[in-house]
Amino acid sequence: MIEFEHVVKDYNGITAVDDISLELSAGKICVFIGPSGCGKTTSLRLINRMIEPSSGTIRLDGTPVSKIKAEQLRRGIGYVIQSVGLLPHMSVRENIGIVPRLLGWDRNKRAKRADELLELIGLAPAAYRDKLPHELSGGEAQRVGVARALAADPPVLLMDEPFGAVDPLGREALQREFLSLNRELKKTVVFVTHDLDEAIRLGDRIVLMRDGKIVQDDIPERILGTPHNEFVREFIGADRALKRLSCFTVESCMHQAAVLEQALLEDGKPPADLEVNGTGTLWIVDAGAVPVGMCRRSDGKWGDVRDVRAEELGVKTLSSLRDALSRLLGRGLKAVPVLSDGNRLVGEVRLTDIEAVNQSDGYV
Amino acid sequence: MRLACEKTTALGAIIGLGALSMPFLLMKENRVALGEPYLYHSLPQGPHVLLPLTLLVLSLAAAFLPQRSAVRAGKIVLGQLYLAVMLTALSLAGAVLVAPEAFGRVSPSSGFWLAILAAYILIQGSLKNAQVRYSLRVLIGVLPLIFAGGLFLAGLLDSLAVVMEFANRQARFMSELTTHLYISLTAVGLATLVGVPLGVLAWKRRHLEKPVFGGVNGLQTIPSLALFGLMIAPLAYLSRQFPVLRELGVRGIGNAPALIAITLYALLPITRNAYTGLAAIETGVIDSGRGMGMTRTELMRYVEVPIALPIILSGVRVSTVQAIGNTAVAALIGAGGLGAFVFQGLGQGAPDLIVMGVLPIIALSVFMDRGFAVLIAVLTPPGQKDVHSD
Ligand SMILES: Nc1ncnc2c1ncn2[C@@H]1O[C@H](COP(=O)(O)OP(=O)(O)O)[C@@H](O)[C@H]1O
Ligand SMILES: [Mg+2]
Repeated sequence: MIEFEHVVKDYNGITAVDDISLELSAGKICVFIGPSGCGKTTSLRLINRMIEPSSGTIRLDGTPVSKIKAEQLRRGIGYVIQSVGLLPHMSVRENIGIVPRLLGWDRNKRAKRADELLELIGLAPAAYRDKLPHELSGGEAQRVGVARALAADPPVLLMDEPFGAVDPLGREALQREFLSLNRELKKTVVFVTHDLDEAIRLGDRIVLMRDGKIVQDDIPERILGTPHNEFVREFIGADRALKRLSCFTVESCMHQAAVLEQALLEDGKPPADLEVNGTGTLWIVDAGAVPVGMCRRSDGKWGDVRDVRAEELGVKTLSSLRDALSRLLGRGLKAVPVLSDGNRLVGEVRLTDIEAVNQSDGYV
Repeated sequence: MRLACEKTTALGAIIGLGALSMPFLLMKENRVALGEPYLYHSLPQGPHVLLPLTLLVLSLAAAFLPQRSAVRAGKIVLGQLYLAVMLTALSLAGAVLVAPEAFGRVSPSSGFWLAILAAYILIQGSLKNAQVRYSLRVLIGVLPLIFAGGLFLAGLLDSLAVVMEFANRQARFMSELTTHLYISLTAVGLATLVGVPLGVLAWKRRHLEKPVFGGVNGLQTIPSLALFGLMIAPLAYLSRQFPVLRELGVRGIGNAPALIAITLYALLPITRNAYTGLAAIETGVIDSGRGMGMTRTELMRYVEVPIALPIILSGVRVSTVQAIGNTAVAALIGAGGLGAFVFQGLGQGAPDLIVMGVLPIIALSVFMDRGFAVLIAVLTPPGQKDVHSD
């Protein structure tokens, strides 16, 4: 657990952080958000003593951080920044092994740990461990940055706009991966961003800041649903309803899908007497359960089978409802398939589900 | 089909052919005589002119062939053979020409020097794009030097005027060589001790950047001779005022002013590269290093030194080559060193004495330059190789 108690940071006259008190619970992702210059980075760096407060106390599991030697404190806290800062002369494996090396682990243990982490972040160890940072794409470098922060298995992770320099598509993938990663690892994460969608997607809790002060500190749904004041309302912008959809994962409201194996088609059509519920959509899958086609039933008859490409049409279990909505609207469909990692069909999400989510809270 | 041509080798071969039509050596009756020119084909002894001619024509032909590995290997052999033939011709012809004369000696002339240039270009051309291991490359580079050294040690070059000048001054040669090395290397050492901290300071304290670089840049613009001159008066004054200094050998002329002036010169490349070396480290890299819990020393060991050291050493490399040249000029204010032979030769109108001073100066520069290149290549971490190659 991390506690801020009346923390102030002054830079000759400029108050970057102005009397902040907070309690961040363990195992949760807390997002600091706000306009540029509002003191997010400063707040974050106060935790690992990259910056010392002018007054006030920060406690980590009850111990004031000022009582812990700065280097020792930092080795126990993962740190990820926007520019990644991989050491350009070290391989991916050596980069991941830096903190373990500082902690005195032997070479074998470091190498094993690096492979483990590469696996975890979805980069094949054999292909990536010997690469140099300049041989990585922006997204890959950022994944390695996360792996490096996790190397010594610290309970706390500080992330300062980590995905800010990655293109929007790659950023979404990184956010999704990180979300599922932290479901497993349960790190206490302090995450800085100025991107509201990112905050909503990732945060268990959002701390909205302005001029060094906290304006609203709440769960994402309430930040969107009951903004405290005009500033918050403005910061959220007009499309509140749409943004709120980012709070929900597909997983939370997906349905079982009607499925038929390709081999069971009769003259290229599903059996005439096959009935399906819901939106009347039948997914045709191959032997590996990957969707290859779809077919709609209306007025008791099957329409033509349309070919589909799973990775283009489908959403993942950890995608947000907002992603699902944009696919649904973009294709004019009543349902889109939900896929597991190998593109296997695990369910479908329907337009009606999404409408229900918003209507339930009086949004639309 | 367009005719493809490997230009370096072609150029070398053409220069080599041209060289055959120029005076290869001068036969002199004594040290300061003007000398009688001999073209290669009129030399009384040595490999027939058809031999170098064939080698050059073959090289030229090789330049126009598709560059397969056999052709590449052929070019390497041709270049080496050509150089060996030239050196052999000089030594054999010299011995025959000099024999009847009491004070006779031969000096290489324009044809020979051009031939050396041609050989150099041919060897460069033969190594270009060739997949030759680094060690073999070095061997190919020094083989001609070993051959020439062998001829010299075997006494086969004794008829050369340069060698005679050398033979008459062997002891002094060694002492001037030592002085030369002492002055230039001490100056570079001092410049490193001062320049690296200066560069680091300019990087860390931004307001000092301008004055620091203004200073070292300014020094660099003063001609070396003028700087030596500027040293004389104040040092002469100081040594007169403080006998302690005089006992230490500090006088207006001699080692002390040379050392100071050359050190000042060597400052710029070292200071600049120390600064550039630190600037090459992205701020995010330092920030994440600190954020991961590196101490000040660990940050230096794992981040700053590996990234900056090769760049700093490139600065030292430039300074060293420059200092060796400047030391030659320092002979003018009585500092000694190989430059002494050059100026003595100029004074006596003995060109061969000049050559005797100049050759080892060039050799020293090349040796130091290559030595640093190897050192830097070894110390550059793999991730930085493309950042500063060679
Ligand atoms: N080292 C510093 N010296 C002076 N002012 C600073 C320094 N670092 C940050 N500030 C100021 O403190 C405020 C908060 O900065 P920061 O925490 O970096 O904002 P954010 O990360 O939210 O964009 C800004 O007004 C910034 O100009
Ligand atoms: Mg910031």
